[in-house]
Amino acid sequence: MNLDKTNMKRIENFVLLSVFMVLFIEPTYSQDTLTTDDYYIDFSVPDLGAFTLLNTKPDNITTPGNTKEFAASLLNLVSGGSNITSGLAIDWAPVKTFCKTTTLQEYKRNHWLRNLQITFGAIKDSIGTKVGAGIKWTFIDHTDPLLDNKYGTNLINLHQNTFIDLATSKNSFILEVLHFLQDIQKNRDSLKKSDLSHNHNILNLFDFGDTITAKKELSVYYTIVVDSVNKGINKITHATNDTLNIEEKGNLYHLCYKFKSLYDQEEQYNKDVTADFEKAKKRWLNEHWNATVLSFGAGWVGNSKDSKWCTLNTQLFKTYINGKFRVSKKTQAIGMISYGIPHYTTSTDSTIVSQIFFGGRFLVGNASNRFSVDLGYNMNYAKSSSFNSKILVSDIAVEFKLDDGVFLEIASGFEGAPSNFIKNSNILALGSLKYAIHPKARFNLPE
Amino acid sequence: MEFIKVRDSEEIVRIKITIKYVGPCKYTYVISPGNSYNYSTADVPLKPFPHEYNIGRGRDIILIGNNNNNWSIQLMNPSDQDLNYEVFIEWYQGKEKESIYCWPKKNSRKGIVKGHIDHIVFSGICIYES
Repeated sequence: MNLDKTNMKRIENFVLLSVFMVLFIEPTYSQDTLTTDDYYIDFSVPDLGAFTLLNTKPDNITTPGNTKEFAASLLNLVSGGSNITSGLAIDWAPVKTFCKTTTLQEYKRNHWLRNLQITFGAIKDSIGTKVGAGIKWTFIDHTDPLLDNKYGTNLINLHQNTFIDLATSKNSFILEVLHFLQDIQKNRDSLKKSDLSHNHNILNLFDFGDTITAKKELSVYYTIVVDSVNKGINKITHATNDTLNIEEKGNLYHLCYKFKSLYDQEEQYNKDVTADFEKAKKRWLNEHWNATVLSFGAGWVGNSKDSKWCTLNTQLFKTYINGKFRVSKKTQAIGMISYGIPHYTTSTDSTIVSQIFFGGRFLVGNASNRFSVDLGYNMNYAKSSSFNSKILVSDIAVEFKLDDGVFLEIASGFEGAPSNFIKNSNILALGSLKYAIHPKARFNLPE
Repeated sequence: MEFIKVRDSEEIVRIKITIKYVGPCKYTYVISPGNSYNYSTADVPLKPFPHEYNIGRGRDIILIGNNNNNWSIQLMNPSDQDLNYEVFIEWYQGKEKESIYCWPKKNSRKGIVKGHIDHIVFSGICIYES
């Protein structure tokens, strides 16, 4: 069949237009609004709801994942023979876009609503174009770091004692500085009416937030402080020869040393937290790549043999539930059940009236690379039960992470009647390059 | 360094700490070496913001020994994406809760903790004067 490329382009353009509309809406609402951008956990390219509705191979058994405010995926699928399938799908969580969360409590309370997505996609192959639209709801998601109380508590407890001790030490230190300045005043009767301990120029030199001053060499810093205190004394006494005595200078040097030491301790605290944070984050990702996620989806599928909007016909109404579960540290199980009601304008005894599919996938690997084995069972129920058919599908696949959001999947398998599966099944050879377009790179569409 | 003018009177000075952030966060507000207010998102139950605390009578907190407070606020980002925040502390005095100071300046209250930065610490010191 010759495809009308212009019309195919129209459908693609519509999908792209939808993508850009979402991209346009999002920044408009984020201005002057406290926003929580969704976070991207790079476990895999999300299996978008639309691709599940469209039943793209090798994704018969799709993997649920962490809900993004906006996600898009391009599919370039090379299957057996000369068939090349390409597609684009988008998932959008409108609640994440329009209802910005400002507190963890609110986030925890509303996360189930925030994980409701609208999905839309289209794929084309040698027999036409299929369009899918629907909703997807991720009702259980253990891959969300913000909802992991234990992880949050572990992060809060990183060097907690140092955090408190540093703040307390700073308080004691400022008190020491104020007493030092008060003592200078006590030693000089002429300063009774004025208060050196409220000299902003001097006190500002002991501000830990003034990093330019705090990073100076101790000797340079001390010279600046001595000069400032002497100026403070001179300003009040109007005597240029009235300066700090040796004992006072010794005390001031001690204070300057302490200030530098506290500043260095704070710097070290930041470095230590960063290093331990990085380790905790990596550990969490490794432990949660296969954490439990359950989602439910429903939608409509239409097809057009000549890729025109006007000839787009309803093909199927479909609902599904899929879930992934941790088996061990390096293994994961995925399950999926779907129920489809095909739509026909005319029907005969052989017309399929319902489709039930269930299957499972077993994965071994990690967050970047994995090997999987699938087994799926498809039951087609016809108007007359003599036309019922059953198909068994089995795949093996490897998935490699090429870059952030880009995965290459190569799969091969068999498809055939269960009774004669080993002897007489069709070989499926598939390879796909999947891209995720997520907030980190949403404006860098692959060419 | 923040210099906060308070009335030399019996009127109580209070603070209100507001943190709008979805990630884990914590703070410590130190009144004196042995007296501080601490909070973290690991606390159970979580206390909703703003958090209000009593600092003391105006005439007491301007005396050396009582006149310096300091605080540290830490925001942590466990995700790979940027998380927005809004952080500020307001000081009030008297029964009518008249606002006397706010930290930080209005244009520095909002920002982003970037995913690759992981955490941000805000610290400050204030001196009360009449």
